[in-house]
Amino acid sequence: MPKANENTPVTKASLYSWVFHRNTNLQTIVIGIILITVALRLVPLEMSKRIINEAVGMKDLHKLFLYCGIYLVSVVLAGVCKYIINLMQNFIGERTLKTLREKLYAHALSLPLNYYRKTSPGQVISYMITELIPVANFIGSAVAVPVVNLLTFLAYFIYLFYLNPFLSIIAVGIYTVEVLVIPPIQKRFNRANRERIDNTQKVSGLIGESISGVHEVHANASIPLERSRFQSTLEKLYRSTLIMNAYKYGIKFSNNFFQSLGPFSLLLIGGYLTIKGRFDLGALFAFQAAYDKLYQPWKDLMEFWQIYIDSSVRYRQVMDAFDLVPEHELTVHDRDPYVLDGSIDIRNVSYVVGNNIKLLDNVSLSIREGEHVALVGFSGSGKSTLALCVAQLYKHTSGNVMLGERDVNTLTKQDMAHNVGMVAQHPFIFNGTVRENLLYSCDALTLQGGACAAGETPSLDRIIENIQQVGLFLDVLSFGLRFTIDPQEHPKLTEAIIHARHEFRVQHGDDLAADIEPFSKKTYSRYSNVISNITAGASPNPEYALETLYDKDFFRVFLDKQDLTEPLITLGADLTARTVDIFNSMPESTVDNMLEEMLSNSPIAQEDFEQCKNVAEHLDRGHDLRENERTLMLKLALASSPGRHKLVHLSNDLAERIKSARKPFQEMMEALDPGSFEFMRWRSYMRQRSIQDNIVFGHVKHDSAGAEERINQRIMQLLIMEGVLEQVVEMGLEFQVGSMGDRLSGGQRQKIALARVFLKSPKIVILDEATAALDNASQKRVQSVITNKWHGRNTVIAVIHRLDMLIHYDKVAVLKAGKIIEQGTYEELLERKGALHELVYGK
Amino acid sequence: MNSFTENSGQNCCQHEAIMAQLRAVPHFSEIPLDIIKVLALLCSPMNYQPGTVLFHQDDGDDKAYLIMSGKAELTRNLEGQTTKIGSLGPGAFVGALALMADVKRLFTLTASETTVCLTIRRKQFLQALEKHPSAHVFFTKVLTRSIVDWEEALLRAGTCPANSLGSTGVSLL
Ligand SMILES: Nc1ncnc2c1ncn2[C@@H]1O[C@H](COP(=O)(O)OP(=O)(O)O)[C@@H](O)[C@H]1O
Ligand SMILES: [Mg+2]
Repeated sequence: MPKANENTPVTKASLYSWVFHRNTNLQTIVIGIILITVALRLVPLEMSKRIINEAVGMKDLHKLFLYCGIYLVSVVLAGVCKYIINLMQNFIGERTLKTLREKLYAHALSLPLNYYRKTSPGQVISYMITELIPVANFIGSAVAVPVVNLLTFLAYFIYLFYLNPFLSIIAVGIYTVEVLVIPPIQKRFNRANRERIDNTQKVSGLIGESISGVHEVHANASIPLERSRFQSTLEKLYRSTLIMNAYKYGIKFSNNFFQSLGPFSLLLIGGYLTIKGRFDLGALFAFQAAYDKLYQPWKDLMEFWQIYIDSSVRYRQVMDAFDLVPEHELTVHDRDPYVLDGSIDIRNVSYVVGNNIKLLDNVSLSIREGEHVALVGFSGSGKSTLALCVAQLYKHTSGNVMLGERDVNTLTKQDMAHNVGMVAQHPFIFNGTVRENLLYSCDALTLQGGACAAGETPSLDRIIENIQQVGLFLDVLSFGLRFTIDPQEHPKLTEAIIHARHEFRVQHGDDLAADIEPFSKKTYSRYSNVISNITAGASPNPEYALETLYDKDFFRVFLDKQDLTEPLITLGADLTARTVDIFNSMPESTVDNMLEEMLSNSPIAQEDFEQCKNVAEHLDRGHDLRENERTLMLKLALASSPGRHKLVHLSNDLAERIKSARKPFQEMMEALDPGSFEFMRWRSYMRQRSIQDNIVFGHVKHDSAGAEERINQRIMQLLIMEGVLEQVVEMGLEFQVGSMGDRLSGGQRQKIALARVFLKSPKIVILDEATAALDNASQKRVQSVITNKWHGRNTVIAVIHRLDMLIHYDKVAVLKAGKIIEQGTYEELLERKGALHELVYGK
Repeated sequence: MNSFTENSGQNCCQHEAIMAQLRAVPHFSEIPLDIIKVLALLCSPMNYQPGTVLFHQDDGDDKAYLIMSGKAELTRNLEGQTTKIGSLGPGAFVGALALMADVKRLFTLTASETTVCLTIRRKQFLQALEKHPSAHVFFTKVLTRSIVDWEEALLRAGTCPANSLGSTGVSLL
């Protein structure tokens, strides 16, 4: 292993190295300010002494003002200095935390994959975020707090000593006794407190248990038994609470006692000395004040010691958790990244994990530049493992993997980025836009001084070319069609869309009749919700947002006038009763798991569900609904659309009545707030609606199989004619894929991963079941792109699950239990009637 | 005020229609009604225009299909030759094996009339049956029995030549 890294790994650094890491200058300044502060703190003491002795004693007003002035200035200055120290302490702590996190994160990311088989993301998060915070606080205060407090303590002590050596030793003696007495009591208090918490939990557990099993209690008539069990547990809780409080008040008592013991002895001895004339009144006064002030630094020092112990344990824990050396270096040193030829030579490679489990067993396979090789075998036979070893993600335990005549173990991650690309079996999609995910590999390479085959920042044309190759084009277009645009900002596009709307109706109105429910003034739209059927339009003014109208007075008055309120509330109540009925018949744990999915085709929002349960219960008992419940029912009814919500029962009669409210609604709005509502018109753009809605001018029936795809195909043709296709696709590239790409289908995620590697087009391509989530036709298309694009130029190792693809590969290797049991061309192997023959044709 | 109760009882919304269809499937006959209700809410009927494919030969699948109305044609393609296997009408329930594990479709199912078909995803099926292992066991029993019955019928019809292990003997798997 070459050892070129100039600084030691982050996990080996000691806690104290961070205190001075790039902070030495700052820490020196802090100490300087501390010295000033401590000096300033003594001034008020001395001043108060002088005020009493020299000013008050001598009745000297001039001196009184002078000393009071100095007193005030020194107090303010000391405060300002303390403020500056706090700021600097905070700055040092936070800056170190930032550096620490950055380094640790980079280190954690570079750790081998195997490490994360044992470490969960949650652990890493907690180490990186919560655990480090107290450590950073400690680092910030590591110099300032002990120095300030030690010096302050010393300074007060010296001052006391200067006032009276004998008294000062008594004062410190009292503190020492206090330090010896209180901690043991504290320890006992802690123990008692833990016991009390345990007992509290036991009591709660017991209550929970008996209540859940109350039927069993009744069945066994075991109420007295339960009561006695409860009594004995409660007794323990009662005792431990009493004991804990006894210690608590004991601590308070000791604290108070020592607090007053000090002044008491001072007054006694000091008073005696003063009366005897060996001590003056001012000095006694100052002594008293200084004695009080000794307490704070003393306490702070004790606390600091605790924090130190705690932080060093935490710090070691965090660092030990990550204390592992990355298997490969990240960047090249003193050379350019290698440009490898595409040959791969796998020589006697084994990969052994755990107790001599051979995931790969003496595998040899040699591949020429530009050759395409398929790996096949049953699930678990080691195909992915082999692919991952070649890609440097796993480190094989013996043998050699040579990429372009260089051992993969000697290559840095940067070399790999320049020469190798991979589609993993379960590709990961990051939160962000489609475009960001497509360019993920290219951006990573550019950052390390390379460039993708498609250019450093691939142009829109190249991106489009690649998403076409993987069959993602129509998906991206459909994302783009979901966007809403502002017609003022895109006048040309708006015009094109309106034109496309006409063409769409003329050309495809008939053949897509079964896929679309057109917007129409004359019919009730069963795929729209009730509110849209009433308004037949929308408003850019949030005051009139459709989903909020149920709660607006003017709208409620309108519904009353139309005699719609009662029928709609009945509609909502009917829906609620049905929905709750289904949930009531399910076990509670299942309900929690499935609530979201079950409500996904219901107008009931998850947060309203609890209230709906109450409503259903009231209805069941024949109660009248309360006003807020009626409002909720109205909300549900207005959001219902029988075409989408299976539990909604909307009679034709009611649909007709809702429809006839459209005109009155329009009239009312024109009177109330002219121009605020944009009613659907064939000739105008609906800015509240998506591009797709604007072209189709109707609802796509989601329950018509393949409707979306057929429609988007037609739309694509029309957009080409209008010359705006690229513009819409470009919007689609900005679609947010959601966390882990959860707004994409499995197929779309895989296509994105494929497009990533297509854009990069590296010398060596590793594909691990890269088309498994695609349908048959797409698989074939992608395979033919792979062959045309790369055969003879870029080397491909592909784990293949569909055996009919094998004819496209130069060589096939069959794996079984970590061994290559057969390799050769597809024809050869079939003729041999061995393992491949068995895989293809069965036994 | 309580007029909503008037509706319940009759077949009024889509959900009830789906429930009725599901209850008629033998595989589900022993599943408690409460679960059928949940299943009916989870899966959705789709409309297929004539010529639209419900599933494709060679595609992987995780769904079972229940034809609610219309008619669909089952075909198999072998080296470019398409053979018609038969047609399925209302009540036909096909592809139940996919509710056990991912399968590769060996046939293509194409709507020959406007067809409404309920697709049941494995994930939803398992979710609905999660707390009712007995219903699941029964489902497996029906499925297993139908495989054995079907092989027996083939054997009786004399499709079992000597040394044909590999092409017959499904129940030996
Ligand atoms: N790092 C590892 N430690 C332990 N077992 C592993 C490790 N990586 C893979 N395996 C196991 O090795 C076997 C081979 O896995 P894999 O290469 O993914 O098979 P394939 O891709 O052929 O389906 C599997 O049983 C898997 O669980
Ligand atoms: Mg695998």
